[in-house]
Amino acid sequence: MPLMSMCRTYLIACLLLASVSATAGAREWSAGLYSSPTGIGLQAQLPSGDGRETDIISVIADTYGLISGRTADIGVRVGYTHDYIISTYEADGFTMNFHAGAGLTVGYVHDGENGSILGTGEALQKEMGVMAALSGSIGLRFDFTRNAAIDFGLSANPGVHLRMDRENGSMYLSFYRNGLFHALLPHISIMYRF
Amino acid sequence: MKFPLRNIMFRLTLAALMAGGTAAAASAQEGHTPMQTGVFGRFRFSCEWGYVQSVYRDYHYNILSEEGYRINESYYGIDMHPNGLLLAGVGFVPPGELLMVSLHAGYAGIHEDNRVIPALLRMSFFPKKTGRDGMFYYAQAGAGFHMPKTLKTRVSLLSGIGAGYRFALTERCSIDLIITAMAALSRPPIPNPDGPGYVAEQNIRSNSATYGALSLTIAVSI
Repeated sequence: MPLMSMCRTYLIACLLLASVSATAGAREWSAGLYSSPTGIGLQAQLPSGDGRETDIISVIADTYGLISGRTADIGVRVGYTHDYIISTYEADGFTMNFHAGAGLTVGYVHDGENGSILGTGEALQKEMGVMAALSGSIGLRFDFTRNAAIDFGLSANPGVHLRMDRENGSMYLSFYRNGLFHALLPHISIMYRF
Repeated sequence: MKFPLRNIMFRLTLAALMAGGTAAAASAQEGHTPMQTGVFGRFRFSCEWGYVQSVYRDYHYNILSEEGYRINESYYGIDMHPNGLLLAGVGFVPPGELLMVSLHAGYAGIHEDNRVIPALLRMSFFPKKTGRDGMFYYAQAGAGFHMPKTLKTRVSLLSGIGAGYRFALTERCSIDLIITAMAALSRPPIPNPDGPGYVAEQNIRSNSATYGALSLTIAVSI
C-alpha cells in the first residue's frame, strides 16, 4: 500500500528531525588542549543558554621550573571561572568573542623563587605546597565553522601558598607570587565544539 | 580663454581624489584589498610548540682538568631526555599554493642543560594546497644560538625533516599536528670532573656532540 509506506516514511522522518532538534537545543560545550609557558592541560568551556556567559574549567599540569631545568617536579592546579561575553565580532568563517570573568583556582605547585621563568639558575630550594587563589581571566575566543575553537587568554591568580619545610618541619604560609608573576604569560586553548 | 594656474591645480587635485575614491570603492565592492590579493596576502604567520624527546647522543671531548691532566672521553648510544620547543614563524606561499618557505625562531632545549634560540629555514610541501585539509611534508635547517652564560655565544647546527596534518579552519587559519625527526650538532657544556659546575672554556681542547630527537608539536597558522 503506497499510502501506508509514505505515511511510515513521513513519520520516521519527523521523529528523526525531532531528535536532531532536541540535540541542537542543548548547550554546546567545547573541550580541548590548554597550553601555556606555565603549564599544559585540559580546558572545557560551557556556555549559558543565551550564549552571553560561559563557565571555564581547567585542569593543568604546572611546569614552573621544569622547562628551565630547575626542578623535576610537576604540580597540578584546577581552576574555575565564570566569564561574561563582553563583545562579539562576526566575520566570514569565524566569530570572535571577548570574554572576562572571575573564579578561583587551587593546586599543589611550586611557588616562584629567584630568577625569571626561563632562568637557568640554581635548582628550586623550596618544597611544593598547596595553593588557593582567586582567579581573574580575560580572553579572546575564535569559533570557526568547523566545530573548532581557539581561545587566547591571560589570567591572574592572587592567593596564598602553604608549604612545609622538610629540614625543620615548619609550615610556611606566603603570598602565591606566581599567581601575579605569570599574569602576563598568555595561554592558548585549542578546543573542539561538541 | 584664460586658465588661471590656481584653477588648473584645483581641478587636477579634484580629479586625483575622485580617481582614488573610485578605485577604493571598486575594490571594496569586489571584497578584496591589496593585502588579500597582493604579495602581502601570501604571507603566513605561525606559532608552534610541543614536546621533544631526545633519543640518541654521541659526544667526544678533550679537556684539561683543574689538576692539570688531560681527559679524553667519548660516548655514543641511546640516551633519552625530554625537552620542549617553541617557535614563531613567518612564511611565504608562492603562487600555486603547493609550497611554503618560512623562517622560524624561538626557544628550544637540546638534551640536558643546553638551550638555544633556533633560527630555522623551512621548506614545506602541501600536496593538497596550503588552504586545504591534508598531509604536508617539510625539511628544515638552521642554527641555534646558545643562551649566553658569558659573552661568548656558541652556535649549534640544527636540521630536521617532518610531516604533519593540516586542519584548515578558514582559507588562512589552520591547526597543524606535526611530527619531526631532528638532529643537532652542538658543543654542550662539559660537567666538571673535579667538582660542581662545568669545565671552563679555556680548559676545553675539543668538544663536539651530536643529538637525535623526535618531536610532536602543534601549530596555529594564520
